[in-house]
Amino acid sequence: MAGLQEKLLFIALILYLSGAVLPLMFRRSTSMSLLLGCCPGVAAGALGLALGLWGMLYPDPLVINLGYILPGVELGILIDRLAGFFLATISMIAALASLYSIGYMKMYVKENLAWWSFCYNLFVLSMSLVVIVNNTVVFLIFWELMTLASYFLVTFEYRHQQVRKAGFGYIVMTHLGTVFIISAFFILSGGGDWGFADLAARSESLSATTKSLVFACALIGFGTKAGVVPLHLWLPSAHPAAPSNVSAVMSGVMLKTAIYGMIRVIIDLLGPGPAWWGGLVLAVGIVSAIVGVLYALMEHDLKRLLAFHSVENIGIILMGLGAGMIFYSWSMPVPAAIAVAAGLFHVLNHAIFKSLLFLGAGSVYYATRTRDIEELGGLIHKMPQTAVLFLVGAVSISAIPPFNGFASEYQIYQSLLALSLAKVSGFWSAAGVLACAALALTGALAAACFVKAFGVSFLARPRSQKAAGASEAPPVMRIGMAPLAVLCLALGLIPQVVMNSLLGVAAQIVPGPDLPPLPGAFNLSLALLLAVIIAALAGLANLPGGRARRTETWGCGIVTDASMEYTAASFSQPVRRVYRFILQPKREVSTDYSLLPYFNYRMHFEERIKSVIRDFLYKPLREFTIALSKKWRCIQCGNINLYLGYIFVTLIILLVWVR
Amino acid sequence: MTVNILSVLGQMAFLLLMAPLVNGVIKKAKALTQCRRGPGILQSYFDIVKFLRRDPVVSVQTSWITLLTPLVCLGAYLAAGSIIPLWDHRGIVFGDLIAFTYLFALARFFLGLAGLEPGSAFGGMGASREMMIATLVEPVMVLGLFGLVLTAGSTDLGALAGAGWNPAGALSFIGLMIVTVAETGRIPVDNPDTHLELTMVHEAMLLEYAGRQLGFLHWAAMLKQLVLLALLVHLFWPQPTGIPVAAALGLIAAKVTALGLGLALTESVLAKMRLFRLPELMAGGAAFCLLAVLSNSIM
Repeated sequence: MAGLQEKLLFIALILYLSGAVLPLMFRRSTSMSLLLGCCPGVAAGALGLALGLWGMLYPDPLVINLGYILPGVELGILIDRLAGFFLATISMIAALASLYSIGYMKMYVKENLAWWSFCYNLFVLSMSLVVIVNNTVVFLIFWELMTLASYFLVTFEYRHQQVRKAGFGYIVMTHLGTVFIISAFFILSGGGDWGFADLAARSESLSATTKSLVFACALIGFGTKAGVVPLHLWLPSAHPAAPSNVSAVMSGVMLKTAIYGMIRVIIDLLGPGPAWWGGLVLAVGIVSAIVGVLYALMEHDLKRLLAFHSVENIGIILMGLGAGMIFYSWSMPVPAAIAVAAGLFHVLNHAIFKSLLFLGAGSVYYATRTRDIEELGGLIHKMPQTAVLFLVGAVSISAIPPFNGFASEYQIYQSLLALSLAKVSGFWSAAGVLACAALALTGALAAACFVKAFGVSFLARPRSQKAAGASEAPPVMRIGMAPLAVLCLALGLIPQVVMNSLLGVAAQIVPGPDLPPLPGAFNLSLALLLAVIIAALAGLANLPGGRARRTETWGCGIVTDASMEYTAASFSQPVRRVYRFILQPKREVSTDYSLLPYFNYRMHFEERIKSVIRDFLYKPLREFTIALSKKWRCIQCGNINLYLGYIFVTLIILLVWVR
Repeated sequence: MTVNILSVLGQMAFLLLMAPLVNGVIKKAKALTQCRRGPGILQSYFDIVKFLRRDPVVSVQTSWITLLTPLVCLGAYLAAGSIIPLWDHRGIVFGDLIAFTYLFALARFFLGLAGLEPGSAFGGMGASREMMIATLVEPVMVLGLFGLVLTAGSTDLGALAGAGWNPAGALSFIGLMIVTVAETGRIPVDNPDTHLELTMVHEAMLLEYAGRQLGFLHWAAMLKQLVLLALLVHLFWPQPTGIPVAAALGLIAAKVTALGLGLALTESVLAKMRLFRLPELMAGGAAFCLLAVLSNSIM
């Protein structure tokens, strides 16, 4: 049987590569190169999904050897349950994003679409391979390829200075992260074999301090890529800079490769550690979740807003994983597996609704050419189907039942509570409940944010000509989004099916006794359905609202217009004020009385928030680095003889050292 | 199965019919403490019937969201109410505290959207304030409710019956009463009796509603109040077991009304708070809940 999967994988790889290369050959015709770039991606994604599901649901891992990619470096594929889960998630999202791109990239006909296809397909290919290779060296090669390909996608619109800046920040931060990942692998392997299996075997002989060092390196390294606070600074600028279909893939699944890396290295390879590891991951998760969503609420750029929500959701995922790690260190494999599965469930759900939202934001951008929600409004009348799809995503990300975001946050709540109920110590009992309160705060803030995002951009009157002239996005874009919206609802209604298969995945990483399947906890959805039906019947009993009379909105006697609407800035003002200890808003109001002494002639209002992390963490660090570099500059005189001398001295030192 | 469905439907009907009465009693009590005669205790029923018989009028800016919101609100509160086991029944319905909390978020989300939809500044202001208050209320609610989970050992509402009937529970009760005041839009958080734009939150979001839909929303607000009070009774004031359904319902009604009278009294003796003083009030609630959590986790 393994022959079949080998063939499938091979075909998928060929498809991705042809999607990368063929458009380059047909670059004369933009529509041709677009189709050739996107269609293979859809097919390959479908194959990847099948393969991933296979690996996830069948107990025996799939081992395939695809030969050597570099002398001495074998491309060994290992699709175990964990890898299968991530492969399936990545492939599914990538396939739908490729489909969506057929319509969306038409916006960029004047740009180099062949180059885009090349980078995009290589990006998806490397993401898929990162999670299924069995060797750290190959992992790093594809990790790097993924970063580079996504860098060129981020800087696709390189003519804007903003975009180039975002791309630079992205590549610098992620490479700093990669340094830590390489260090983690080095410490773990000790210069020996590089396969994951070898590392796992070796990690058992490591001392506790060394293990903690590996843990710290992996957390920082993968945390940078995942965008946890305070390493998230690149994320809110890089994701919006890329075209929206790429942002959907980056935010939806590229961040998840970092989560994969964390699970693989920290939980799978290192095994159970001290409880503070899990506690630290949990704490990082809480901080990321709250800080991410607070900044999201302050954003008026739709894509930046969504990017900050990625920080939030990565935090929520880490809360689940952190709880799992704590249980693992207490040698309680059953709750540990449930908590890890809850984290994985949120990985899947976030991938689905976040890519749905980014694609929705892309459709809005396609129709209006603006991402500033202050300029939008009334789109529900112009783009009714896109509005429904976006609303489904918004409701899901706000953890509202019966959608999928609620289903996974529910499981994370249960895991955090289990932390309290384990009664290991008073500290952890209180910590579990407090973490729940933090998650509730995150959920409430997320709901506020998406009432703002959806309400201001889709409801009420258009606030600009751009929004007034919008029309529905092309069908292929809506078709790309629809399956995601259906999944949002489906996974919310039958979460126990997904959770039970994810428990299998988690049980592979956290070995323990066979887990009992979770009970069908969601008769709730039945209740909800029932209640909604009753309410609907009550509504329909006499006259549905369709016959409602329509009049102008009451404006206290004057005719209202769009300038009287609540804006995003005014909507978020109460939150900005209440949470000012984090957000540090600064407002400037100046009133011009130059014409008449009592009536103001002109008012100017400006409010901006301060990025505390940038000012207090990064700025000193940057200044320190620059100061240090200035000191070091004295050894750089530009004289070639001196440099030759340096090389000579270095050589001597090395020779003496390795003697 | 059929019995279960019937019992859940029965509970929904009980809650729907009971909600206006509790509201009427609270209004009457409030009027009496303020030396007014006040409307009769059945007035809320008359109001609902009056609204339900009128055709709705909606703004031209609105879409299906405005029309759907009243039904979603009523449905969400009804679902939340139906998962509290008011009498000795284990229904088909899965009674869970987390689901309960998030059903409120569902209603709030749509109400917020409906507030923004007509494009008037009032609705936007109400929606914005409501969502901000929610960010303060929800963590406190979770803190208070989950403090009880520590003693009960489960988030199942059946297992939580009377979980607050202990000294630490008294602390949670104070915290959750503050939450209830905020959630039901009462003084000192919001004023249910006014349409003045400077003070209102919940009423501002309903400003563009009329007729049948307004009736649904008023009904939903009364239902929300009853459901929250019923939850408090269920958690903190345990029912005797093994009594007939009718007696259980009578007891529930009496206890809920007693708590409602407490609400009326606090509303009469307190002044409305400035919106931006609310964090302090909710911090007070959070402190009580936190103390309960700490005492539960240490013991």
